Amino acid sequence: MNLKRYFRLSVLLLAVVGLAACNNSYGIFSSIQGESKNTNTSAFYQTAVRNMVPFGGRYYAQLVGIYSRPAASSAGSDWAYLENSAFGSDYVCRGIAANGSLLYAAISNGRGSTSTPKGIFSFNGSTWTQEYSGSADIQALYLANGALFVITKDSTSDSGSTYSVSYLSGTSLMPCSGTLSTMPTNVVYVAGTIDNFFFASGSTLYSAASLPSTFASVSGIPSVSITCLATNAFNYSDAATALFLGTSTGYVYRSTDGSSWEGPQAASSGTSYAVTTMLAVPTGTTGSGRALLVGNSLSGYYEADVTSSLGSFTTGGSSTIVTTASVYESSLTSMPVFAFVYDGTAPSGTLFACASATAVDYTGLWSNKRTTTWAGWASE
Amino acid sequence: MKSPTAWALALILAFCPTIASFAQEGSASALGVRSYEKGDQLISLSAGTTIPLFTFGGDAASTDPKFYTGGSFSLGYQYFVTHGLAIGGTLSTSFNKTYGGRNFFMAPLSARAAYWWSFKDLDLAASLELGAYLSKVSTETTTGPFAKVGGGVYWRINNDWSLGLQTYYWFVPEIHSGDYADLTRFGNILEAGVLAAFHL
Repeated sequence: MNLKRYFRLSVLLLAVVGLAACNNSYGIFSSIQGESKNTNTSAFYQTAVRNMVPFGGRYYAQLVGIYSRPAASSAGSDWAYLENSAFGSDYVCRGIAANGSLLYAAISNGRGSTSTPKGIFSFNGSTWTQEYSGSADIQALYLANGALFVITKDSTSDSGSTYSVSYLSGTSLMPCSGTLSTMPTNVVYVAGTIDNFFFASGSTLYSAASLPSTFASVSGIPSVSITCLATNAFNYSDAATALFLGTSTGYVYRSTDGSSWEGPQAASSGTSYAVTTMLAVPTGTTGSGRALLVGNSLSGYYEADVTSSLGSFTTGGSSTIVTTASVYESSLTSMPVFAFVYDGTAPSGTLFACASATAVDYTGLWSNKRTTTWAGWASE
Repeated sequence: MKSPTAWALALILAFCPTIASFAQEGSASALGVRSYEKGDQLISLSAGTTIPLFTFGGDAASTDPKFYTGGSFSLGYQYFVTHGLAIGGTLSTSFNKTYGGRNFFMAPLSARAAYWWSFKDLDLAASLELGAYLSKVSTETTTGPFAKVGGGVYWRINNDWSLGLQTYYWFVPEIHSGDYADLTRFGNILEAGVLAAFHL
């Protein structure tokens, strides 16, 4: 063999490979090092986590039942199924909500189509109390400005179901909407110029200045089908001054006065994917900035700077507002996100993403700790 | 779904009866095997595992590589330029699952210099390889320089076939420049496997 020829061929080969196109801005090893271990022993492995709430130094996650862990435990540790004899042995959690004083859970007993409504329970940190014992078919619970709103399904026929929005008053549900033919969105409260409660159903936005009063439709809103509402508050202790509308086509609008609207900004990879959830999270070292996280019905989430206006959205995989691309790509990029929840103060806290992992080999609940920067998504 | 390691082990097991049948045709001792001389050639196929050791460099906060032991395959060729000294090349592949469930694929192509010592029907080899690799995770690919060093012990079944065990240390630099210099990492991987070599 001709050694010189062999050497030249080797050098040529190395040069070709070395000069081959590759992405200098993406580190293969560094992205892998940014990953979190995805464990199939997690309580949330291949599950759909509908929601979660922080309360009394613990986290409560809503699957079919409720799982809980101490907030002080590390991600993925110490989750335990919540058993309560008042709920029944095979209870189903229909909704969960919490503020600083009470945790609420809507419960029905028995799985499947024969599940029997058992009302709403509250938890003060030591005792569960049945607040409402009626037979309403509860679909979701939302806390806004101290009021517990209840979405109920009132009838089902061949032409579809009807819904209504109520709020808990004493031990009764007080209706505050008419009959709605489309499942209502979440209920939010915006202070400041707007100073109203809001929810949406179909293409109608409803508002009420105070309770008790019936919500009235808001005029002058964009002509869109609204699938989600959010404010610029990161949790119940943060004052909201802006309202965001998410649409069935993946767009987001913003208003600070309830009559003029910024947008739309696309927060989806296509108009076939609806906005499923939105949450403003604090950004910057002091937490004075705000980024809006937007989940959609396909997979992953988008984020935009909404500190003073409605910025343009980028995917969580290419932006670094909340997390690094690598961790995002190994986790939430492949599943639809149902809810974002932030527990903490503006400078520090923990962000949760509740997702559907039923079709992928991942866990359905992820957390991301913030000090002055974000640590990256960790599997729960 | 079988892991890359499981596939590698299955391939190794599949080799065993084939090699054993060759061995039955006449033992190396009986045939009086000779040491490798100038002009001899080997073509080899190996299967085994790649074990992540550590990753460092750039802004890495830890040395945990965060991927699991995987499977590896390689195809090699060697030409003896003098008594015991061979040069050649190896095309390897490595498949590993990452902690986050992604597939990490790497394909190094390297030039090889090896020295072989023969003791009756056993050969010992030590080698150094330098080359380049292509790696891929998700939709991202990159290339870089590559080096591996190691050796093995091989049983000369007959004058046509050898079967042995080998271990190599892989050094896998991933160099980024400019604003992305923090992404630079140096991967360190251990390959262990079974090799079957045919003497041309």
